[in-house]
Amino acid sequence: MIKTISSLRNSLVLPLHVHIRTLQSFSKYNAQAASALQEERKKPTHQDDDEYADMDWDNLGFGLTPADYMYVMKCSKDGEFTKGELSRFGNIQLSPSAGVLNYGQGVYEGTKAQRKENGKLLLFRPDQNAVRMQIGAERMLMPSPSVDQFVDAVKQIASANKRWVPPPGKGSLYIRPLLMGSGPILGLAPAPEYTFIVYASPVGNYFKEGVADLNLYVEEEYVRAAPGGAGGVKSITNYAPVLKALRRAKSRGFSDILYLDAVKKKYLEEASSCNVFVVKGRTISTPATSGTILEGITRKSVMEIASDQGYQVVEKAVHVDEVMNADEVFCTGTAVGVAPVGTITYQDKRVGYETGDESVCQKLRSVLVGLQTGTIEDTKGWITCIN
Amino acid sequence: MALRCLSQSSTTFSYLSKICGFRMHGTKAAASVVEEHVSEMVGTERVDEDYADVDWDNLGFSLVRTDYMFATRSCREGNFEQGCLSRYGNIELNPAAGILNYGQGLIEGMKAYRREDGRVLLFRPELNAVRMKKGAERMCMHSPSVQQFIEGVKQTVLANRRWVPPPGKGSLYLRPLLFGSGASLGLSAASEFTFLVFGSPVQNYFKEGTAALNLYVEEVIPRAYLGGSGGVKSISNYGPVLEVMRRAKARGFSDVLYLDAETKKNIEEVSASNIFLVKGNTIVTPATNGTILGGITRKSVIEIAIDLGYKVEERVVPVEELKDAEEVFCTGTATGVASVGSITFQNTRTEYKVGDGLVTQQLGSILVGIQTGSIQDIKNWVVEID
Repeated sequence: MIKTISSLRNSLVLPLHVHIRTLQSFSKYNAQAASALQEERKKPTHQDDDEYADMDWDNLGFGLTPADYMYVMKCSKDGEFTKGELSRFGNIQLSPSAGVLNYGQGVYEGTKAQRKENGKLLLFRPDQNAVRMQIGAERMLMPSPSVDQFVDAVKQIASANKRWVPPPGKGSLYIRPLLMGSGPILGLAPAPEYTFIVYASPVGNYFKEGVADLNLYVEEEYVRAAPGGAGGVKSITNYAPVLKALRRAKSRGFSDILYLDAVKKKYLEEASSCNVFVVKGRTISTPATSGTILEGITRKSVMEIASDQGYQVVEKAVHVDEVMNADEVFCTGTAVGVAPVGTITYQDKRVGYETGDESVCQKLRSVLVGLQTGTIEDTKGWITCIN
Repeated sequence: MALRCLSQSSTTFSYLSKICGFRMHGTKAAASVVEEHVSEMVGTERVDEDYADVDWDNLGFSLVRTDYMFATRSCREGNFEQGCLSRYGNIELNPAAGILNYGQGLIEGMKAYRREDGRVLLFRPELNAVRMKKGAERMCMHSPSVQQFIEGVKQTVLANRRWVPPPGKGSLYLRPLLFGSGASLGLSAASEFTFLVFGSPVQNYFKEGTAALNLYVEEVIPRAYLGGSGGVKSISNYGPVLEVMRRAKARGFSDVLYLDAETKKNIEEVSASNIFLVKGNTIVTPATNGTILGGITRKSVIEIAIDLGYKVEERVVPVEELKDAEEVFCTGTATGVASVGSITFQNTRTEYKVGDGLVTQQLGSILVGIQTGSIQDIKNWVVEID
């Protein structure tokens, strides 16, 4: 009689000869494993109550369900970050005159932990997030945790909140590192003290549409970033100003917005929280990161996977006309994954794109997800495995 | 008696729900309760003004912890609860609050002045209230009504009366703050907002004191761009320019003058003030077309200048015009009307007339006179608090 989730998992692990393959051949396996796990979950609790948190794992969206523990680490303006600590998730205290509240001095990150079939937790290139936060911190005149400190904090958060990491195939634990000017400052200047926090929440799909194709709107009135601004780093200041455009697009039935460059208003930049790719034949183009666009880690990874698969991958200025003439369009981001775009509306024209199982998007997505969930062998050293 | 409990409390948690027995209906009643208890706490009958223990002759622009702050929260429908005062101290926020993760916040800046006769004055507070409302709409936030805003500011000033500097020694700088305190994970507007007001006694904004400023024209990093949020007082406009300011200050400049993002040909404003050029009888300032903050000091100075017979132009100001100006000055709540002694653009440094008897000083002294109550307020710009 199977009594515990972990023993169930152990019984299903098979020796696998791993090659780089599409996810399709593994998905059936995952589905079986997942449904078996789900079955086990529904049984009256004879198993260890702490194995999983009490969540409806089949209906995870992207709402906030704070995991038990968060991580907090502080430092002064000229000092370094000292040892951080885990604590129960809860409110933090800030001075009303904190730099982050008055002057937007803050950067954040986004990464995910996945649960592998064998129970181990996997992180995907957390060192890249660490480096990106350092670059962002420097731009915003903040000290930042070292790469080791950052990665260690993320690992601690994943481990401590293990029961919030969804069962394989049901989603992931979204991890949100946040760096802010927490010290008090009156006149416009950098804060005298900084706080680094990491919290987490189990998530499923980012968009309401689930895994259905996205419908994007090309925004011509609002601009996400301008050359010289902070658009190229993950500063909190890039987000509130686009809420109005995003709300307007969503109310008109669109999933998200595609922003154009601030100067010519003709070149594609990115969506609200993901990068964008355009496929034409065997060529995959994406806007070059020249300071206004966030250099996504998913973006970077997908470019490498595509190149490995023999596509011609080009980073360049992508004119909006090229987008309207593409075969496929897809978005990439930690939160969104690799998401197919079904339509784009620009001015009064609405263009449809190829999507579906045979699409380039799906091929690339399968490889990325396979790597992230540990079903495809990680030959690039992108995966960090914990406990 | 509620205030006594507050004053004896040693915790720094000071959020609304912890204040019991202090919610009063009717703002006048609230104000008088504060007044009464302030004097109770001080323990003397108030004959002379009671001042906080501050070196009034050496105020700069740093945070001084005052006694009280005002706070209120919105509910889902967007109305703000009647706010209340609490001891100045830390607030509690969910780590996933909209302001911390997505920069959803607006600030305001105002000053309370003490008149010679001891009465405390506010300058055009309704304009700050309206500006915050406009900003809130742009940033998908709910905002307090104009009345709630002004009431919150008044209560903060009254409760911190002893921190308003003696006449001529400075002012109590007030920082109303509106931010997304509700939590969310994905990018969206918060569903709960907090409106907070705190204050700090200040005098001169710049290290230079009242000496003329030296500005640097920044060509690479813009402060704002068309389609962005530069025209409202969003916190998102400030963090990204800290880097430019630091570089300029390291090279000996007082502050930075920004150009428009699209063409890099026209001047916009300084980090936290608007800018004016004077030539003969004409005063010119960049028009507020969405990228520039519509300053209240700016607006007031324009009106004072027109009253004095100057020709005032609000228009696009190409950077070339800097070298033809006779005088240049900045305006802002924190900065006041500040003379600019020089502006450096590329490798050229242009110097301007400074000192007494000039247009800058004329406009500045009228403004200050009105704000501090030494010049008659015929425009109803001044609000007496008590």
